[in-house]
Amino acid sequence: MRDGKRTDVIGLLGPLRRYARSLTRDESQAEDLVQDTLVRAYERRSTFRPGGNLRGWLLSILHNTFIDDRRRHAAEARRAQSLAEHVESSTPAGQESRVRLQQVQQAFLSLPEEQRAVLHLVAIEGLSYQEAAATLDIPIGTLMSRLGRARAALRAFEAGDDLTQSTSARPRPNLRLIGGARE
Amino acid sequence: MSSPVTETDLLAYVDDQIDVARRIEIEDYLARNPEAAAQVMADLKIRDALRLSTAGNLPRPPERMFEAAGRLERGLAWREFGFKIRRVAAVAALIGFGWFAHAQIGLFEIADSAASPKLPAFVEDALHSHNTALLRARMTSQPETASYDPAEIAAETGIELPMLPKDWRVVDVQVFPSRDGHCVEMVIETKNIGRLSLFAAHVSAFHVIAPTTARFDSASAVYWQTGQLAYALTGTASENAMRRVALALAPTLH
Repeated sequence: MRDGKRTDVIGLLGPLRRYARSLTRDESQAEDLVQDTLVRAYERRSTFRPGGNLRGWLLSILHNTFIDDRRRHAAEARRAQSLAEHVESSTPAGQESRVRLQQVQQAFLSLPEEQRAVLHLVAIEGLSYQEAAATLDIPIGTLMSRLGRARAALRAFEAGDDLTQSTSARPRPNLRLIGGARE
Repeated sequence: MSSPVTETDLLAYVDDQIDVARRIEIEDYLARNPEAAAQVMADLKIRDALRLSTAGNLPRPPERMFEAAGRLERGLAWREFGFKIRRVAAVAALIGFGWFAHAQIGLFEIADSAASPKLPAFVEDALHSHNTALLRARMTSQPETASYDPAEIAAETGIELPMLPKDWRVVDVQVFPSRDGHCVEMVIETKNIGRLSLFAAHVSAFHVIAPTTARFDSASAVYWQTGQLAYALTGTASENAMRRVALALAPTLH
């Protein structure tokens, strides 16, 4: 039987920890967030629909826990800075491609939280739009417009190609509509 | 006629969340629009860079995280077990109904009640209806009919429709002709598993089929039959999720 597989929480620790890192931008805070998520999920296990989407359910609890935490703590900006420094120091900046990779990641981490969350779930975790919208509890139109803005911002960053000011650059969203307009 | 390529199409192209037919249309568009093509290439590159930068192996989770995950797993497995029992009961009730109906209406032509690997014809009709509904949803000149009156449908067509969960929103309801009378195609917006089509039709052969899943290129379907009424749910959610929904809907009939 595949039942063991369906409630494989340990197998989902990777996606949860990755998402927590993208949201918190801080390693130890991310681990705490995952821990809190597991505790909260256990308390709310009756809200999980058997046979439902365990990954989406857990990611959505993680997201809500993050939002609640952030309302309590207001030191996010400082942490962002410390992770930015951490990324820089922990990765040997040997090859140019490595540097590029870091820069894209930093540009990603500098995105507004709502755009970062959408791009993480869709582009990194590979969730379907439907799944990601359900996880974030937003309409699919909102999801698409955030995704569009996140991509446009990173694209603008790439096009700017300004290697020297990558840490502070906050690219301007530049959504171009082709053909018909959606939200 | 293909609809114009939108920003949303380009995003869905990058995320590979688009069907093959539409992909081809978009690729055709990209071949003629270097600016849009460059945008897509840049998005693909950024996506790959992000995946690569987060793919690095995470350190081993702390022991307390394993413990919390294990506890949650056990808690959920227990719930799953309870659900399975209920599901077995639902299927047993359905089969019981089949036998009862079989004994009562012996004069109908009875198909072999063993599960046949061949897909019933109505499932194909359901898929066609689903595709037509998607087409209608795209067309602005084809307004959707969201007013849903199951009593009137039952009175006029003889097709009984299941009770829908309260949080489902009916987007479109259409009555079409079918091989053996009428059929009803409904488009429903659900909160958890996206947009679904519910297809219900008269069929000539009396049969009882418990909810069974079928996979197609762009969608998956769960179909079932009670007597001379056949039903199919079509959508893009996982087969498990669709099956679960069908198992909940089927007992609300008859």
